[in-house]
Amino acid sequence: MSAPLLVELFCEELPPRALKRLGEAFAQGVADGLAARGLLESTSSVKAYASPRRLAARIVDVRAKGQDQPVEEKLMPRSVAVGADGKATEALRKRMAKMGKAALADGFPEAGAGPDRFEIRKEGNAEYVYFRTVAPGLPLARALGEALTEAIEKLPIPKVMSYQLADGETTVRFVRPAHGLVALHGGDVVDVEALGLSAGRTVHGHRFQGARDVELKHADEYEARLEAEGGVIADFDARRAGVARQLDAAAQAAGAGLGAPETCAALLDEVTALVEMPTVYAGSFEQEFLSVPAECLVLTMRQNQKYFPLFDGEGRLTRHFLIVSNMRLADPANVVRGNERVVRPRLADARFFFETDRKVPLAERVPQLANRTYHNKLGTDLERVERLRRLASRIQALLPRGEKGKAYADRAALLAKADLVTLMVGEFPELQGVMGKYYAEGDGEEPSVVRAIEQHYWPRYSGDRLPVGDASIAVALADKLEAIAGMFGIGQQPTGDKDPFALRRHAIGIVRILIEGDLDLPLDALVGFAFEVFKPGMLSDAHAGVHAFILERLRGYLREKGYTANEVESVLSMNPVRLRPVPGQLAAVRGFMRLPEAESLVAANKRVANILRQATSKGESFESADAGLLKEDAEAALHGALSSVSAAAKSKLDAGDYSGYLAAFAALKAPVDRFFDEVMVMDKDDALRRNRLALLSGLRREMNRFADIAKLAA
Amino acid sequence: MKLAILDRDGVINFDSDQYIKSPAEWRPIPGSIEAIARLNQGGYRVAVATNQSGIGRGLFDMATLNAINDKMMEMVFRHGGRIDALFFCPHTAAEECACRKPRTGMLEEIAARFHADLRGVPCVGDSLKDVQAADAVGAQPILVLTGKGERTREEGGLPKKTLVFQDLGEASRHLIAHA
Repeated sequence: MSAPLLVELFCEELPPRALKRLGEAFAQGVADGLAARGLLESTSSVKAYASPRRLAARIVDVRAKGQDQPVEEKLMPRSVAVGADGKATEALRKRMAKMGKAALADGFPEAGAGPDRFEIRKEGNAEYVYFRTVAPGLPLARALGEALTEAIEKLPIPKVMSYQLADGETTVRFVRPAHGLVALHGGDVVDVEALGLSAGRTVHGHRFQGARDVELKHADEYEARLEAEGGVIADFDARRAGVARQLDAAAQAAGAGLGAPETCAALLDEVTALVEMPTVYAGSFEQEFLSVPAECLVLTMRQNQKYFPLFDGEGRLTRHFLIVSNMRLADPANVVRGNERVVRPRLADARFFFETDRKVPLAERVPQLANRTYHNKLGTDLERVERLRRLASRIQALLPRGEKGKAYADRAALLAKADLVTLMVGEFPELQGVMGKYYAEGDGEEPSVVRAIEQHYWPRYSGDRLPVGDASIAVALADKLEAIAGMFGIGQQPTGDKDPFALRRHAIGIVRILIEGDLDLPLDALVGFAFEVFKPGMLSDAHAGVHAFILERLRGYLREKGYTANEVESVLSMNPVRLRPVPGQLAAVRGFMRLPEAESLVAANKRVANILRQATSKGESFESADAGLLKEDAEAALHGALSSVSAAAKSKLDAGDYSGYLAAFAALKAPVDRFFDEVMVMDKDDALRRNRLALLSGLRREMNRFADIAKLAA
Repeated sequence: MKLAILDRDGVINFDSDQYIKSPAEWRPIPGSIEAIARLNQGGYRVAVATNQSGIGRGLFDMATLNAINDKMMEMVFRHGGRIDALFFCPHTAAEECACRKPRTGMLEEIAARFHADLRGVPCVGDSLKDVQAADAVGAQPILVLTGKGERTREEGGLPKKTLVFQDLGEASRHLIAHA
């Protein structure tokens, strides 16, 4: 008989950042365990619940007893199992005795009473004896007990805690102490134990509001009664949606907004994991704190207080904020006042940091960077700043304002890291760059320098803005290139999941700045500059590694843009030095592949590449084709077509028309096809053979200036 | 199982009006570490319940509180003792939480964790808040005269059944002798 199954583990407050994941893993783990034991129907589905004090799963259509499951076991080769007389050998007897089925061996090869069977199967050249039977399904209580144990063992627990059970002796290791277990199959308690707890039917309500105990009559009552009587919304997503709805309504009522949704998403998840019955209240702080940069106030409110600051129509921070409380109160005045009182010292700290920091100009802080180690093999932050200055200046020379912009790029690089030694950034590292901008502005630095101090960290994450203006771009590229070159040069390149210096993020930043920022700079020169700013001997040579590493990020970037692996490979296998044209080249490749002639030309290119490779490996050498040595009509025709087509294609390529360049080669389909039909390349005559190889080599060179067409073969 | 619940600041270590904000500021009151070991050896499980509003005020963060407690735990361990659990309330009085002593939330949490009945459980503190919380749950309030204890006794208003000792050392000897 199938019925819904409810399992709830009631715990002390679970770690909020892991909560959603824990809930899902728990529910899926239990469901998987039951499915593996044949307890689920094809119609079964699982719903996960997670609140600060509970992980639960409700699974519909769970059987009371598992289905009988066919089992088979490969025993041994037939030659070992069966004697000359056709009866079971001692080996097979022993094996069956071990399974408690000695009697079955006596009757070999007959089937036993019931589902037991022997079977002989041919596998390759040998025959094997199999034992087949049907394992009776487990009762739900046993299956659930095993499934729970497995699910709990497999939970992605960030940090395990040890505690003692009621006996005061037995130690249990789990994410937080568990205090209750509920397991209901329809209306019946399932007799299971987990973490030293025996299952019952009583769930516990909200810590302060709602019934302490709610006795469930049926598994299906869980969600509704826990909410109505217990004052707990157990469904994480429903609770999150509820918080979001209340926040929106409260913001609207205040005529304000919550800021960009992506800036609130993580906080919304966190508060959802902190409350069982969310209620939103509004509070405010004194106007005077608004003299502090909004970023500082927003960060301290969101990060330390878990408040949602409110913004006006122009996106300016207001003095109002929203609190997500775990309590639903008729008169929230005390809660609001309490929250207002605790946020004040935080804001006062922020103001103190800001005002104290402003007393010392950024430029005077630079020497203090000598006290901070950047990396023990790469020196202090001050040494790094000196490298950034030299590198930014060299990059600046390649940017639109050229040498004229050098003074700004140099100044920006000098000041870029100075905010790391301010109180504010010491307290809130996330504000690096942002505070530098404010402090530099206060010091009266040039606007382009001020902007570069903030923007040299950009893009900070996927989809983030790009630096704008020469100085910003020069320092942004310098910061990223120096970081990658330095770490590669001391053998600290990322491996697998480990990328402690976020070099992948730096590399993708370089790719985006060059491509999306429309900067046609040669990557090999940039990488070269980066290595040159280090003291001789500090780094081992890793130019090629860095270049390949950045192209690898480019590969991912282009794949994300929807280009196929073959398309990307065709262009990147040419090891492009300039990244800016790559997207246009890829678009051209894609357009080329839509031409009716494409398939045959790709195949021809692949064939040509193979012929040339084989010829080269045999020691053939061939330079350029000699028109006088063209014997067959077909080769003369190809030679003629190639000369005229490549001239036309070259002029398109020089004009940056990548599509036009590739499309020009469509005209070669017929002559190429004819060439392969009529001409034998590997002729016995040395001169003829070398000339034909040279012709093909010319074809390949002309046609594959930016993309290896052969790589497009399906 | 026997359970004893101790306040931290002013009972185990010297208190400060400026709060204990770093491991360096945490200095044990002579005899208190040995007292905890003595309680353990007498069959007690020892839990600490401490108001730490310095967290709520932003005077120090969780990492610092953990570092301070690690220092305490290690000292106790070196003397052959063990603090089985440490419960703290990070809130300020203004937040009106349920855990801050003299409220009883923390003591109830401890009871739930240890599956214990709080009646008669010795709760040692140096302030009125400590003994009031103990009294409210039917535990045995014990005042020590270290920390703010002397002043607390002078100000009066202690629950009737409060026992008063010089320090945690004396309180622990009493508990072992009268077990």
